[in-house]
Amino acid sequence: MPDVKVNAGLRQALQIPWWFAGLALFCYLLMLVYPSIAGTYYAFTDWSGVGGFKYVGFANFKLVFTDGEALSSLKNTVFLAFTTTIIQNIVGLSLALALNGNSRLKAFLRPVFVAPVLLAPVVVGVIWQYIYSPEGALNSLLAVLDLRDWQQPWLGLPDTALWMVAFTVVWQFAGLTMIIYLAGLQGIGPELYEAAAMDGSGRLRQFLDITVPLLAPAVTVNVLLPFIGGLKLFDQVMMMTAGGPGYSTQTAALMIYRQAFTHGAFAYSTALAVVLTIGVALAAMVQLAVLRRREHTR
Amino acid sequence: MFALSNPITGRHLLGGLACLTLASAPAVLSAQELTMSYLASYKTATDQAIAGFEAANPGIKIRASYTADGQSIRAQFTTGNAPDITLVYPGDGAPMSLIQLAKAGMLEDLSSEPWARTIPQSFRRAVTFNGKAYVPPTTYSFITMLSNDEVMKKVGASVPVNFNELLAFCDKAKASTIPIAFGLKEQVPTLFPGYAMIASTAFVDNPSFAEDHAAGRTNFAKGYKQSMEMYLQMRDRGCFSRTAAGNSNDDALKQIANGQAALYVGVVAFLPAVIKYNPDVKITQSPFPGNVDESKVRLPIGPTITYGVSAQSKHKEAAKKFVAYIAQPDNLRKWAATVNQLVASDIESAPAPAGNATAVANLLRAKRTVEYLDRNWPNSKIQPIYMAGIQELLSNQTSVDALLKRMDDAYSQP
Repeated sequence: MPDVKVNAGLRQALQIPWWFAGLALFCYLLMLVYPSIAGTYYAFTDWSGVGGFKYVGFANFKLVFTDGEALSSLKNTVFLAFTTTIIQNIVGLSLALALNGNSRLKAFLRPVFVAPVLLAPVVVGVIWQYIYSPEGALNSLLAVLDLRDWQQPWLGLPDTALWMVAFTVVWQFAGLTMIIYLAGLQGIGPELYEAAAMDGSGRLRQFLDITVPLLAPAVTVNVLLPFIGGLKLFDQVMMMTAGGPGYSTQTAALMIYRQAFTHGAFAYSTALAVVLTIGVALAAMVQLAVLRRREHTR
Repeated sequence: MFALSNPITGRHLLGGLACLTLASAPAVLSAQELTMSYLASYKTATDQAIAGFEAANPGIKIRASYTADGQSIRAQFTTGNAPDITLVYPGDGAPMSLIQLAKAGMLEDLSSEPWARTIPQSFRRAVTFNGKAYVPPTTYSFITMLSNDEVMKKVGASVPVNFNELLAFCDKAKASTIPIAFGLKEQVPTLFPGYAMIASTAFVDNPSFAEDHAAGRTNFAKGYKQSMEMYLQMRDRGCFSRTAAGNSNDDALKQIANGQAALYVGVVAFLPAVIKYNPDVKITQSPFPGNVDESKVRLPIGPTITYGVSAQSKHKEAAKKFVAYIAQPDNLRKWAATVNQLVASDIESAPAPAGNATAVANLLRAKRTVEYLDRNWPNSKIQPIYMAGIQELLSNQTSVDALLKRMDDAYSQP
């Protein structure tokens, strides 16, 4: 009989976390899922944010794919997502490889590179806006280096503004990518490298045949998170360029905000948000499937 | 005897406290607390008005919050959480404009208020919808060209009075200074020279351009093309600095204040900011020379933002009281002085603006003015397209014709 009591107690103990999960799930459904689904309805109307509305079918969705501004914003969004993901991974992996070890200098430098991650994106946007301004630190540095011809209004030119935004995002989040790669690197046993060295493998061969395959789970996380973040980019763009000049740095998230609150086109804005949500979900699912398969085949 | 013969316990203290709370409750409940949302740039003037109103109406408190551009207030209306008193832009063309809000039934009809009987004729269209008055006219503003007297003297030029003179001035001045300080990184500054050139071209050729446009007899492509080509001429002749694309409007104000630039084009409300940045600066105000013929230069002018009562308000009578308080001539005059604008009721007599502004005063007196263009646009999509489009135009991302077509397409939308 004592066994029965223990089992009952164990069962009860195991049920407690579900209560916690249930409450969180209820809040999640109430605060996020329900409003999102209910809000989607407005994408099929002509609601301006105030007053009444009428059903317009797929007109708003049709407009998303024919409106030059929307297409330009989607193009910028995809550009930023790809650019930041690729550069962030190159920088993050390089830093992780350089700082993987136990020396005091490496231990000191690791938190230094992670520090920008702790800043709010809005703060980062404001800081870099000043750095890129005509009288800012970047142009001052170029003047000190006697490179005055290179001085530019970096955020005011369509050719440079989007790259400056991408660089800022990479600057902020490369530290996070580094930490994830570091965790992956520290999970690789040194005996694998020792065995490879005994077999005559050089550093490059070891990197390609041991490090890269065993970092596959870290790659999955480091590709997925920046890519989704890049597709949703808003704060830094809003603070640095507000989407300008023209629409040259406007992202989908920024356009959603603008359509709703500047143009008063809530229904169109909701349609854009639905398209973005579906796009992010599809991109994430495809990436996850591809990267997971790669993890298992290695 | 009772009180003295019984010890005072914690329970007695709690009971006493409860009695005190109940006794004071009616006084607390009788004070009405109104909410207000307004523009941050009008905070000082609004706070002063609130203080005066609360002193005159001890039973009413106003809790004001301020936003940079008023965009979030529209969301408050959307969610049924509108402030009792709200900013309202006169006319049409913006999400928080009178016609957009009144059309959606979001504003209280204030036609029966005393101030509604004295609305100047020239403001009637801007503050009424379907014959009903929703907001009092407050002040009017205009787009002016500020020139730094000292820099002009150094350049050895007088203030240009027609467009050819302006281009010649740019040719001469650009070697030693920035001819026109321009905050092109932001979108709003694109409106200032733009509206001034349109007023002096499209509305000179056809003074009833806005009415004809509404009736479908003309369009942007026919009326606005010349002004956009003039914008490009200004860029090509070096009127703007190389870094204008990276400057904010605030940067441009500092440039004119500190003598780094000769001219600046903007609404008159920016003049106090210039003086704040350099209290010793000597500034002259002139109309922007938006036409090759000085006699055809017009001054863009328009009623400024005002206060309305939300139809959702639970304190409508108190909110109406505040609006009536603002509309009183003395209070309005104080408010106008704080924001450096001219009182609406003075528009017929056209008093001279503050400072050295003879040329502007002459145009105001001669009624050579054109109402701010967006006030007659049928939706709030056109202005953002114009602003972003001018940025694109000046950075070679679009053409004049393509931009005009986009504006015409937006004009035809609901």
